[in-house]
Amino acid sequence: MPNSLEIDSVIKSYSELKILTDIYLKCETGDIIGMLGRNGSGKSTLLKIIFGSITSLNKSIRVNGKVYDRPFKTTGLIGYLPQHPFLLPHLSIYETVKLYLDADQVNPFLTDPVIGYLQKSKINSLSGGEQRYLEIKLILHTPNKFILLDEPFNGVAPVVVEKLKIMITEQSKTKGIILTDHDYNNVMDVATRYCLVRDGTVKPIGRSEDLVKWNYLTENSLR
Amino acid sequence: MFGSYLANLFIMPLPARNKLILLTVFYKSTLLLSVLSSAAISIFSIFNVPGMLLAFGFCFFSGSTVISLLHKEGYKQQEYYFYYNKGISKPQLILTCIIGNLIIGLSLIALSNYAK
Repeated sequence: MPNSLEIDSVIKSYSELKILTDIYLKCETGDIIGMLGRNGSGKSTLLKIIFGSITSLNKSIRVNGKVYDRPFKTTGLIGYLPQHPFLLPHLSIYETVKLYLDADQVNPFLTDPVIGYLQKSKINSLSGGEQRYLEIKLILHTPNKFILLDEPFNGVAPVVVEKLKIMITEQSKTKGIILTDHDYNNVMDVATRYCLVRDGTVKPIGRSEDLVKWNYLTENSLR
Repeated sequence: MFGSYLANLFIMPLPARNKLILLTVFYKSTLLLSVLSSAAISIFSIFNVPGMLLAFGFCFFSGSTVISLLHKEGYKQQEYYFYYNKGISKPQLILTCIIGNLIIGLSLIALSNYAK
């Protein structure tokens, strides 16, 4: 049976500025929701509210109908890839993977051609792209029902982005995924549904032309 | 890892064992700054071993704990997501640091009494 994540009535403001007002979003197993929006529109804030790491004036986060105040505290519910590096720099790749995944997942995970040969290296010795790849792969392989990815393609080489898109699609068979990125083309490639965060609300996007209508893209940038 | 040793010792169920290991990883990451800041203050009483232990122990569970946690808050805030993704909240991490430093600090103060 597919799992369902519903985000409802999210209201968030910073002092006088209202960032999010009355948000509704639903994600089910198999969905890859591409969340687009201009800088400062509140995409990252919304993902953090869903994860439970920041508070909001009002919200209702439901997984399979059950309300969670801070979903990250419940194991196996939601995994979150933050925008900035979050792995501990003094640990090796092997130690990090061992801490994050079940014992039977560690060795298959480390056969990866991009990072497998670096397993004894410390996180702080990896390049930005290698570290990002490791972070995304780790989060995607955690046994969570839903995964939130905040700018996963940022700083990653195009050939690795292609691998990531395959990995995201593969993992969506058993998980629901919400991702945001400014690389509009990559989001359109991998997502099964799209939405735009604008004026504090989430607007569903049916066609690419809607993004021009909402002033996110210019006609020239449509492919 | 020391956390792993502790967890094996008490034959914990896997999620609890993992949590203990992660809390130990966090605590270890605050230790260096705690030790350095305590040493910086207790160095003034270097010619008096009991006094140095007393000063070190007192600093360790008071000012050094605050310094270590403020350093995390100011410069390493993003690393909290490493623990959040494993179901560990910030209050749990902070409490681990406070309890750990309190145990070590009080032990050193007790030791300073024997050293007199």
